[in-house]
Amino acid sequence: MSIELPPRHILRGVIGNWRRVLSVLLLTGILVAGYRPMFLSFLVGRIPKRPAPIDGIDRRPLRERADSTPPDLLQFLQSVRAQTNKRDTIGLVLPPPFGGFSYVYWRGSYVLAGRTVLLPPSVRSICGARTVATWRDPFTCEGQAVAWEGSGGRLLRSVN
Amino acid sequence: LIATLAALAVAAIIGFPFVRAIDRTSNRLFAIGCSLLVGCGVIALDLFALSALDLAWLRGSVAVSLALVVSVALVVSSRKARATPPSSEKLPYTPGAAIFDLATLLTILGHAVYATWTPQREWDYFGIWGLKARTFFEVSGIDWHFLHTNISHPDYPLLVPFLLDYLAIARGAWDERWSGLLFTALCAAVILVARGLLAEELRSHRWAAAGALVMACPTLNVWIGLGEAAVMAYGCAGILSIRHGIRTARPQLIRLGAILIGFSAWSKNEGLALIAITCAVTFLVAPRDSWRMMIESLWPALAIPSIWLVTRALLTLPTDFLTGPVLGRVIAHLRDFRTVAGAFLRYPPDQPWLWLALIISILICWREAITTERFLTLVAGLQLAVLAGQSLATPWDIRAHIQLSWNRLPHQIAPALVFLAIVLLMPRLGGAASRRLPPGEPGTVMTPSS
Repeated sequence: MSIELPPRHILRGVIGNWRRVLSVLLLTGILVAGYRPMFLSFLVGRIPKRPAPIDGIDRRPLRERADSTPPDLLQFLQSVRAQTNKRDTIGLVLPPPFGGFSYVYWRGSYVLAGRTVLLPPSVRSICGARTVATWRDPFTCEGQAVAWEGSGGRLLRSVN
Repeated sequence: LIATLAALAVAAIIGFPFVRAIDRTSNRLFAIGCSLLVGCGVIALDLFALSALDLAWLRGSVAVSLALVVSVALVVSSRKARATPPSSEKLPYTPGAAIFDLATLLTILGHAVYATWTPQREWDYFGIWGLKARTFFEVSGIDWHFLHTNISHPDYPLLVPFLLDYLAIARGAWDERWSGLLFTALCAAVILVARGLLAEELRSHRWAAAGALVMACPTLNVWIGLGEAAVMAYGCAGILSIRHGIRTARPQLIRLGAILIGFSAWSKNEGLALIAITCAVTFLVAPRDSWRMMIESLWPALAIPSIWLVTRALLTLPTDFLTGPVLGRVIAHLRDFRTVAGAFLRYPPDQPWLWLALIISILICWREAITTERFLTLVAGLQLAVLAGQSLATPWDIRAHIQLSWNRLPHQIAPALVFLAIVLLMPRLGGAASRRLPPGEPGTVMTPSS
């Protein structure tokens, strides 16, 4: 007994339709899978409220969430910029979780562009700097006095 | 906002005579997209040249130097013979096309709001791109001492910092909010390039607009303030232009593409790999008797990045991937293959379903992918392999490296792969899209009757 296949032109038509349907599905799939509804949310003014990780380490872009750096820390960095001059060398002392090569260290380096911000360092090298900016930290250096205070931080300068 | 928009418009105006001096055969959408990209590239090179000549970046010096360069391009452009307008300029613009274009435009506007709703915030913006840009802006030029002594990827090319500086110079003050528009503009330029090429190739504005909508989101890069959007924009626009040039035997498009991929290497080091791959694949797919023409067309891809490579070598700026025993690291990571493969599986690229849909599309159309679309398939595939493979050379913890880079790196080439899927799938839909421009028939493009 032999199975009778439909005529070739019908088979071609069915296969052709399947190819077309599959192509439509795949193109729709690429559009849907690639679409970011977030853009439309922003367009209608929906702004993210959930804060980004405080350490700044995330696989997602940080701007998809609210800024988690304390506003007074940002204000402090801006004030330090205003209180210092180009080419100054500044030591930045921040408490955990902002210490070391942290997100806020780089953010501070950027805000203080034009000055040399010392690498997150030992206390000795920080105290070698003419200017030390310390935020919410009882840090002091011998031979340095408070030159300015505000936004929860202090600017220490060499007395000599 | 107004100053930033005006500065971006000026960049496109600067680029236009350069694009027209090279190619007069393409449609307007393609030309506008390329103009913005080339204009931004010219501005970056201009700022570099001013600093190299020890001239400060002032509004006056930048404007005069750019006017000089543009006037040369205008002279060259005016000497070029008028070409027949491409057939795509005479295609009817239908309501269907308008709806798709409107949806794409809304998506781009959404990206513009996303890019500017808050000042720049990414870690790498503060640590690399924005830090360099702002430091240069402070001294009205490249701070060579900072470039030499900072630990924050000193070898990274400077196009993105230069463009941030250009916006600040135009505005007269540093800005970290509206500069986000630069990244939207670069991405939108690629969408325009693709929209123009699709209109020419599919010979239908409706299908081309639908294709541009499919491309929009994967092209609108979400990492604002970094080099990602720039390397993606120049790289993808470049290889799409070269592909079309090979397809339609138009060397001027290959040259334009070569200039664009040249600027991709000024955006991020991955652009260097893209240049090597594109040149190699071009010679692989091109007939032997056209090699001379290819060399004459592709040389800008090598000349443009060489300026930065020579500077980098003179300043001995270290590359962390190439410091220490590179081969030893690669072998050690390959020996620990299970860890590496596990990290790639655990930390997939952003939009994993998009990648799955792209892979399925290319596999289903594999025959066309390795024949008519051999160039794009090979370039995008090899570049993707390089982007994955570079993690093997990392001096840092490889799992952390994959975790924090593999979400965004593949998106540098994603628009090219989406374009590939579109040109593979759309002709199967029937209608206008199936009457796709056949490869290697330049006459069909050049004559209006076609």
